[in-house]
Amino acid sequence: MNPCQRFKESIFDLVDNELDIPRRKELESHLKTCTACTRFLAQIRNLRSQCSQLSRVKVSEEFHILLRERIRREMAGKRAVFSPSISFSGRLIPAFGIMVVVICLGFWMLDQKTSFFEPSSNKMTVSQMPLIEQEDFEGEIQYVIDDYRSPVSISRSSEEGETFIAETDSVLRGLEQDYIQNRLTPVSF
Amino acid sequence: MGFALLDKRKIETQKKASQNAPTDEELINRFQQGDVYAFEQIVHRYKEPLVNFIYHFVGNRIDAEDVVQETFLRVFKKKNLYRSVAKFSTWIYTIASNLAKTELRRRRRRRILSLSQMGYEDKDYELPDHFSSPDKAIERKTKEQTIRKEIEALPAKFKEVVVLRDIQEFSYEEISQILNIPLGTVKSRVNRGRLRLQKHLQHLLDK
Repeated sequence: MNPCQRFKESIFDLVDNELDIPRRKELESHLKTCTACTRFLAQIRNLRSQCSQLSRVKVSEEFHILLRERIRREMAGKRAVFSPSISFSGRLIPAFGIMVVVICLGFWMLDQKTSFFEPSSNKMTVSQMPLIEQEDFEGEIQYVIDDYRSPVSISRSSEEGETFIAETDSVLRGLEQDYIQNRLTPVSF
Repeated sequence: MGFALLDKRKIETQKKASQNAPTDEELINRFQQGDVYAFEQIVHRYKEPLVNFIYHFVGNRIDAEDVVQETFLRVFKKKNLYRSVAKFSTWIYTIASNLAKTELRRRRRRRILSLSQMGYEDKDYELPDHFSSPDKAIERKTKEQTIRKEIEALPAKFKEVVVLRDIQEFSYEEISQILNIPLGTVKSRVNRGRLRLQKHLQHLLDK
């Protein structure tokens, strides 16, 4: 192995001002007798000097204008779109809101004792409502409501006495009974 | 000291220009509180050093400025991610360095011209005034181009540390933080990079 090899690291440390005193003394005594290492040290020092003196790249005059434009675009985008870069805590708020809405919807559906998946439960009890004049009629009658396109089928069940069961696609749910009564128009029986 | 102010020293000089000049950390802190003028000062302080830093990676001024603008945009958008435990300069150089690497990866994917083929355009440089003699100016320019080409030809892992250490004059500890690599690795890479440059530039370095 080249005996000068181990001094190269010391030379690099020397130009970085990171060489401790014992190693520095050892290097200095070596340099007195070694022209190759002396030349190497001079070259590394020159290299550092040349690198530090490299001329600078001019920043264009448009730099600021373009940067401002970019920032403006970014800000405009933020306002226009539902903030994609909002912080984690900022994302939690709408997520929490959606969760609350879903839970409320779930409770409401449970309250209505209905399910979206079972058509048989897609019924609404309209109790004590003289919806039709033909009291004797038993079976299915279709009605239309002014506000809804789909006809509403209502059947009377004898087992349930005066109770009318409305087989609907949920259009009647949530509406006041008086409102339904006034709007229903029989289309067939 | 050479004709061109060292980038890091230029930042320090700008800071010390006035006794009341705020530190980088104070500026970003003010910006975090909503002071946009503090951001302007950060841009003013860092645009040139960063463009010069990125230039060594991308090889031309336009792309370097583009990367630096993106760096400032990130600082603008993510200002609250900065924590005062780190130096601001380390943080912003880390962002710039990562963006430069992304840009280089994008280029590699698109198989654009290799950087060494792009060359360094003379118009990008700010030639010092005191090279009044045209001969000296040409000689200096030729020498610079040779050095830049050799730096450019270094493998990326050597180039980034050599640029940060010998051109931007960051400490080894700062480089270690910017690039997120161990201190020993930084030193080893700097020395290996210098060794390569020394071998290829012997004809210039002996003068």
